[in-house]
Amino acid sequence: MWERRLLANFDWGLLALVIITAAVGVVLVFSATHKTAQPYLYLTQLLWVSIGLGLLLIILFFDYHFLAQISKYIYGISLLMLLYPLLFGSEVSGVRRWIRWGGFSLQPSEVAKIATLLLLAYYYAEMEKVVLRFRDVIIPGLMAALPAGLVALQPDLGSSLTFVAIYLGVSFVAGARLRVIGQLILILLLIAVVSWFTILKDYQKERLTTFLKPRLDPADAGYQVRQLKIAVGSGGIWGKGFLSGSQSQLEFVPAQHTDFIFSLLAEEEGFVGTVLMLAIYLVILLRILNSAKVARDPLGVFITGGFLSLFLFQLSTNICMTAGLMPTSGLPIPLLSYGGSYMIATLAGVGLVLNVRMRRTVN
Amino acid sequence: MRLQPEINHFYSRLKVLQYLTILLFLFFLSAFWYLQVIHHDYYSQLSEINHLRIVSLRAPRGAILDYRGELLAGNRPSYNIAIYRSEFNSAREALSNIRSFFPLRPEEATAVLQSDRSVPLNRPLVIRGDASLEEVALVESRKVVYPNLSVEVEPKRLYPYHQLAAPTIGYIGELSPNEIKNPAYRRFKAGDLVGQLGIEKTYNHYLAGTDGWIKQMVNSKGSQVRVLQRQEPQPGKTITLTLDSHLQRYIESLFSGLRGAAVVLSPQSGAIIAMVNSPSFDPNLFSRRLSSAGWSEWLGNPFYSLQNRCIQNLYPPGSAFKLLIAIAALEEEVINPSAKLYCYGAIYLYRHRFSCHALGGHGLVDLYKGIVHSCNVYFYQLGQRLGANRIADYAHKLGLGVKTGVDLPYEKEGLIPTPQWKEAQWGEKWNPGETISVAIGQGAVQVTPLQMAVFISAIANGGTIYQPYLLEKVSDSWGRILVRNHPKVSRRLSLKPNTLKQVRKGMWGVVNDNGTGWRAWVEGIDMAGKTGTAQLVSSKGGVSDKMLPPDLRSHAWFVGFAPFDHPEVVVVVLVENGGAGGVAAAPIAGKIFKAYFAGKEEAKTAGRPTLSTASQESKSISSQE
Repeated sequence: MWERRLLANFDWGLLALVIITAAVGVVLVFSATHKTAQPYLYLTQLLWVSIGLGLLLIILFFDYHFLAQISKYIYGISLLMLLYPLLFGSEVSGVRRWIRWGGFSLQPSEVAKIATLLLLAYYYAEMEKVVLRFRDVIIPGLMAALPAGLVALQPDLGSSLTFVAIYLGVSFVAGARLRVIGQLILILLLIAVVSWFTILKDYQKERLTTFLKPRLDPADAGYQVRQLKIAVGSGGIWGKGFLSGSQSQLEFVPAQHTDFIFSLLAEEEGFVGTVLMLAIYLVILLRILNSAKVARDPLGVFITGGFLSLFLFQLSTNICMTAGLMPTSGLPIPLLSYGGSYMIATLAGVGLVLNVRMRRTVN
Repeated sequence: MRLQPEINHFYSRLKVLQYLTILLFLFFLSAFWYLQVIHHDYYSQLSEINHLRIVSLRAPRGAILDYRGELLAGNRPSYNIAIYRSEFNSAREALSNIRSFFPLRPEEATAVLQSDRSVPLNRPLVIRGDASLEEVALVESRKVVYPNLSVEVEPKRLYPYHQLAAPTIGYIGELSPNEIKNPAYRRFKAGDLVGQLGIEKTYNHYLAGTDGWIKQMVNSKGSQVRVLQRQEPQPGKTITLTLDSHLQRYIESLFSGLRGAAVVLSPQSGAIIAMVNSPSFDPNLFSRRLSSAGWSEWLGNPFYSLQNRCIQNLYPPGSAFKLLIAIAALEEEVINPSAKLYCYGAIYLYRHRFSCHALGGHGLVDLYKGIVHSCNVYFYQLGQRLGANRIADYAHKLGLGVKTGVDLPYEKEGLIPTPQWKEAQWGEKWNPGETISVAIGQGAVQVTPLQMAVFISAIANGGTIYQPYLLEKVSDSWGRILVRNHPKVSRRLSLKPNTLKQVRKGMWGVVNDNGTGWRAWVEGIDMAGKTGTAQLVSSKGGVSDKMLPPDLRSHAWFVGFAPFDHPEVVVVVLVENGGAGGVAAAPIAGKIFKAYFAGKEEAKTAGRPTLSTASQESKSISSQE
């Protein structure tokens, strides 16, 4: 299974950029938390990165075909894990998201993302069709809807949308007709409208409406958008300097080490830092795309393409939030934000991409 | 092998994703360019306002003391509830944020929104001045939930004796829009309290301190992270007045229920010992922010008045003006003091009948008798001989119809009519009969009580016109004297030695020789004076003042000085619509003289130790050592 020539096709550049980004994340977490009650969080983040890199390494040892074959089991287990906090979990500030075990807590939605990605890629690859009609995407749609629905019940609207991104991404790469994609988007909009009047909680509606009318209530949801823009805008070209972002350091920006860590970067390192960071992200994305292009078979293309759309979705929503272009929806930014499950899942996904790439010529 | 047909198909989809990615990144780039480069200044300012707060350290206003060192105006601590607007888009929004927690009355909210523009964003808006301790405790206890509310300490003006000398001491109020433009108020900003009347206004530059501030860095919860800069407040200077608050209080009690004014002046310096206005007002009311309802109630009340009648109200002097006519006549030698004129009770001049107040006439009248009995017919003839222009010249020289230059705002000039004045004012020719009215202080003649006091002082002191003043000295909060005021001579008149002697003799007779002012007489005080009864309507043949409606009754005057040989105090009393001067004003003046000399006696026995002078003496002693 492990051959020396696998290393010949290994994308060292991608791994290096991912590690660099994660390292920047650790530094930013330090800046965001060094004056708070949890000044050691950057060390914890370092631990998550190490565990994630370990998992990445393990994934490299298995052929992605094997991983795809066992994906239905991982998927099944992840569904059970999603049910667990809903049934037995204790509420933390109104949500049930975590499985707690000893001192650690695990976010099963992160496991489910990778599992769903693998399962969808495997399903389409087994279908062996070049053009996908509407009936071909129904079953994958249900596969994605199941975990998305469970996540939405936690409730975690932002995360449940990432399943939609995976589903649309894999279906698109797998060759779904553009008309089918259009139909899917229409259906999703319909679901959104229906759920607005039935399922959505008030706080979620409020976040959406205050974004459209930011002056409605400055003290709450609109406040976040405003403070984010102030943080980013006041950074200017060169930034306020490391550890001196007043907006983040003085806690005007909420959750500055998790969801809004990019605003800390923008405030302290300025436009220059923002552009550099965006450039690194762009190169990462282009390298993933390249891996997809040179993949050996459809399964490899779908896995890589699916991860690409997941990564791109998470990155874009977070950056739009940071720049005040979108409602704050509680979505972290890949590789920078503090968070164990999220970091490990992202690195696992990178592991899958590297896996596909290194096995492009192996038979 | 590398490009299988199906892979090739996916390749086009991947290309689409690639373009989408690049487009998205261009979009991100422009979004950050927009925020961080184009609008950097705007957000940078907002960020500073967010975390930099300026807390005012209000400087206490200087105290106002009477000559004994007794406190007439001081300060008490008070608390303002204020709101920082920086986290909100507007002041309106800030107020609506705290509405459920700290509701404001509609007029308060309007006032806050009005002050919004003039107060810099990093300073808080006061939403409730002089808050109760319960309100302060409420705000402090919920600081975590409402970090934008703060409590600031502000020394509030306190006038411990309320209406005592209020129109003289004055009151303070917020800087008016006109004052903001005035360069004299350059160091003040909108919302600052400055003197609006009286001593508070004249010496505002001494009394007002300079506020300090703390520039602090705060976190999102509004709690201080670090102090960046601190400027200590400079307290205002203490002002000591020439007023004697005990005498002032006593005179005010004499005026209870009456409208009028009184001035007690030192004829040897111009120092004002008492300056009484009745009715008065409570300047403490202005230290609070008056609601509009409070204002209207206040303005409609006839027992309140902001007017300093001693310098702002003009009255015809009536017979008291005869002293001036006497001086002018003697100086111009239109009459000899012993020359006698006959009074039949009336006289026909310019085909008009001018009557005397004594129906049967005074008979033969010389200067002494003319003053003592206040014979109109005698002075009609002196007036006719002098003419209006000469009368006006002497009046102006002796301080009547001109500003005294007292250190109070809004002083009025008054008027001594002349043909030129009438021509200019009304475009009419002077009627010679008007000169006759002027000779007894009627007609268009208008003076202030303080002008009368200055005039009588000149008679008492031998012809020196002093500029009356209230300021004794200015000292800092440690008691060191910064400015000591000295009497100022406006002019010295060179009058014939006999002139003032004759007039003074007449004035002595008014009180002591069965004259019109006998009711002022007090045992043991050798005083001189003159009554005045200024008619507001021309009385036709003995219509008694008592039969007129109260607001048309004559104003009663008494002017005088004592002791006769070495005058040290001048008293002017005016009772509005009081009737005859000898009846309404003279007894009050007598009591004032009595109180003045009794108080002096008391002070002499008590040794009169005052705080400031005591420290001054001890300082000079130590410097000699």
